[in-house]
Amino acid sequence: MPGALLYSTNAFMKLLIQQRYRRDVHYVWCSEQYDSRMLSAYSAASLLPPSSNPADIYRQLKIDTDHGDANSLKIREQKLLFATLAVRWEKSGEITTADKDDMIYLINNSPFSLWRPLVYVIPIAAIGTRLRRVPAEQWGGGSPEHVIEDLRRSEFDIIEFQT
Amino acid sequence: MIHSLSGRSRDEVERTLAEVAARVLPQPFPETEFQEFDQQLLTEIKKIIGLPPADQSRKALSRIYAYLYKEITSESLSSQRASDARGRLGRRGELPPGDYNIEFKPWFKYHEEKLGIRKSAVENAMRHPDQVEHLSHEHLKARGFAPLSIYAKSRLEEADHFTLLVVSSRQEAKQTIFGAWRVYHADVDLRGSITPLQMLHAFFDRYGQEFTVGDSAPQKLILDEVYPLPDWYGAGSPDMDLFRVYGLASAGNAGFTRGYSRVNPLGVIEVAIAVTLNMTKYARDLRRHGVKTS
Repeated sequence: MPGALLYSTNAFMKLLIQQRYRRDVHYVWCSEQYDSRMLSAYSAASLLPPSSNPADIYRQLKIDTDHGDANSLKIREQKLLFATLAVRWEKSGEITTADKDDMIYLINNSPFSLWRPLVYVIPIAAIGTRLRRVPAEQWGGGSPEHVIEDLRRSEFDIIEFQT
Repeated sequence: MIHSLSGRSRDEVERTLAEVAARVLPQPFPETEFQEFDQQLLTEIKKIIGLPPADQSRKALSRIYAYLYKEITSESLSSQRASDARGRLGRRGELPPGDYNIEFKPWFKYHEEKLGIRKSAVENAMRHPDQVEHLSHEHLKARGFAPLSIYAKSRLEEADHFTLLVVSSRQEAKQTIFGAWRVYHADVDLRGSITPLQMLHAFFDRYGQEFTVGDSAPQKLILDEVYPLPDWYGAGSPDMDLFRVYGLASAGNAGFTRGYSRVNPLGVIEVAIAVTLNMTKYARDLRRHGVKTS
């Protein structure tokens, strides 16, 4: 059973895109802890690898955006994801061709500062049955992961660390 | 060119690559299994970008992502479609700040530069703002005015804290500077001013000069207002005849009035923005802060 909060690290660009093109409804993939490294070494949750640990994703994306790393795996992954979504949403009639082109223009031309990481902190109480548990074979480690497909902006807080 | 996709329309290629990308990217609920065709396509992509077929490293994955992204977006990023997208985003104020072209009107040289504001400082404030606020987009657009934006960039590391405020109007991806002013925190009461618009109001409360438009009540800053055309206004007269500034001449002060306004064929005066600045008072305060004015 998850605790009171869920955590998800996302690029600022994702927030902008979901606000603009999804009517401020957010799709998030989240974990039950922010930093698995802070947990007991003898707990299954501590086995979360860096690619799934919100704190590690945050650190890596922060380094990549601060240094303007054009080869960043995470930024390339996010760019490809949004390009793919733009094509899919256009195909399903959710956005127009102009919207798709606008989205792709933004993805392609935004400065690194718009890819900086944000932590979404999600109180679980209001989510109820909208929380979907990710199949165990898709988890990055030994800790459950969840998806919320229709999170409203009023249902989570955003934290950004100044380092 | 990906050989496996030859003979397909550009639209089909885009969609096929998007579907393959969706299966390559991490996903919580895999929709479909990796197909033989996907594998064939990936093998070909690896060959095109010079990766060994068995390479499954993070570096290889990163290059595959970059290749797929380039192929999927190439049509949307063709020069005409990208230019149209830039224009649309600019009109809505959604372009990244650094992506706008910036235009200075001749008045900048005769007012702002004489008050110690350089073009480079304005460009820096617009490309790297602390805050930006886009004003009443729909109203102004409906009245045929270009939408307005206010940028704020603070210099708090200096002993004399100030914020550079820049007001601009947007025509697609071009920003035309309406005005730029240094707001010294020691001189202007910014308590309660959080947004750039609130700062602009606070600035003109201090340095604005009261003026009227037609028979309006005297104000120091007008934003997005409509006034009836007064009886005394003659057809064909310059719009600036509608502006009456109070107090400058009697106090021996210099000033300027600046505005975007027009007389509507229906007989009303539409104002996007109008201000009058008491330059004598403002320049005197700027000199106290060591700003060279002329």
